[in-house]
Amino acid sequence: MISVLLMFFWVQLLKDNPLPLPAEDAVQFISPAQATIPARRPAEIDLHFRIANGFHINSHTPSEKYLIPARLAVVEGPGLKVSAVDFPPGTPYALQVAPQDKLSVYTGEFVLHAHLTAQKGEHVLQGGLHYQACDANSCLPPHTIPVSINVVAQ
Amino acid sequence: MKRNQWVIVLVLAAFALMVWSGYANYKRRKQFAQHQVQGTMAPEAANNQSVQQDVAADEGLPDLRGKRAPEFTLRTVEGKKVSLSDYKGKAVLINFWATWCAPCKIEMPWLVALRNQYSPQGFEILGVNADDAGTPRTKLAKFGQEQGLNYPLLVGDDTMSRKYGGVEFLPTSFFVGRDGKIVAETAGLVSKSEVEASIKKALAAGSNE
Repeated sequence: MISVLLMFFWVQLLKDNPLPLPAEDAVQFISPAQATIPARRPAEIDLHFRIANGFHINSHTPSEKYLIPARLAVVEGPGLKVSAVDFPPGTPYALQVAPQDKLSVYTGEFVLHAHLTAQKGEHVLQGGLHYQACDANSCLPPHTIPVSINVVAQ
Repeated sequence: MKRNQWVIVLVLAAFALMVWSGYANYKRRKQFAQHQVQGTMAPEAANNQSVQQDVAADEGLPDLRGKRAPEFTLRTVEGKKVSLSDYKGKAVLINFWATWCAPCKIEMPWLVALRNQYSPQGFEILGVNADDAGTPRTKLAKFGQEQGLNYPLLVGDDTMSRKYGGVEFLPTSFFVGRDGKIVAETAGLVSKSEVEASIKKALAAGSNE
């Protein structure tokens, strides 16, 4: 019981007061490193990302035109075609000093669904997630992290 | 029994470590927050200057307080050349902002109001934009109009940003006194009253020279 309380206390401290970090560390591509899909048939791969504690990024559909949306750019290799990428809806978020101004953001972990088809064989799906991260009081410049998945079509 | 005692000791040690790291983290972040809002060091903070400098270094924002504000010349979004030295004898707020920065947008109406209030006393704001270098000036000008910004909007560059410590977090503000020295600096959104306090400090600094 005590350990749970202490852990909660510690996590809250980190959550409420995140330390500054470089833009490239604000979001991580978690998985998958490899995916197996049926060859020559429409398939889906879930791409998992994690946002650093205390930070958020704009969703794919930000609440204002000047805000930079989360976007995934993919490089299609021979025999691999990505037809669409689904983004989850954003969560409303407001800064403490402006509770009426709701932003549309992702926090914690989020998943993108990539729709693709591939010829039989091994392929590399490469791309980059472009995002702009902020914490409760400040924003980091926009950044792109690489995404690479070995796709095995059988 | 002896094994159980060892387990208890280890568990207590783990608890103590967690509490200590949590407290140390809290203390460190609190000092960082104080650094953000205080233009001059309180006596107790002065005793702890090295810790504050470490925290500022974590932010990537060097402690420039008390130093002469680095000179720069930039163009406004309208194309006019502006230098910091043009405002010699005035208190100047150098405010780094970007169109994509939501906290920057929150403080903009405050800056407009504070400029209206304090410009008769010799106060000016220079808004240094930190969007990508390729961002059209027309887009920045349009943004400024939409937000009702009444102070010069400058197109920033890496050279200028490096002079101020390579500003990475937005908004970031440097308050320059009438004597040309930086009296306060903030990284991240702070309250309007804190901005106003720093403006007053800048107006008071060097006013007898």
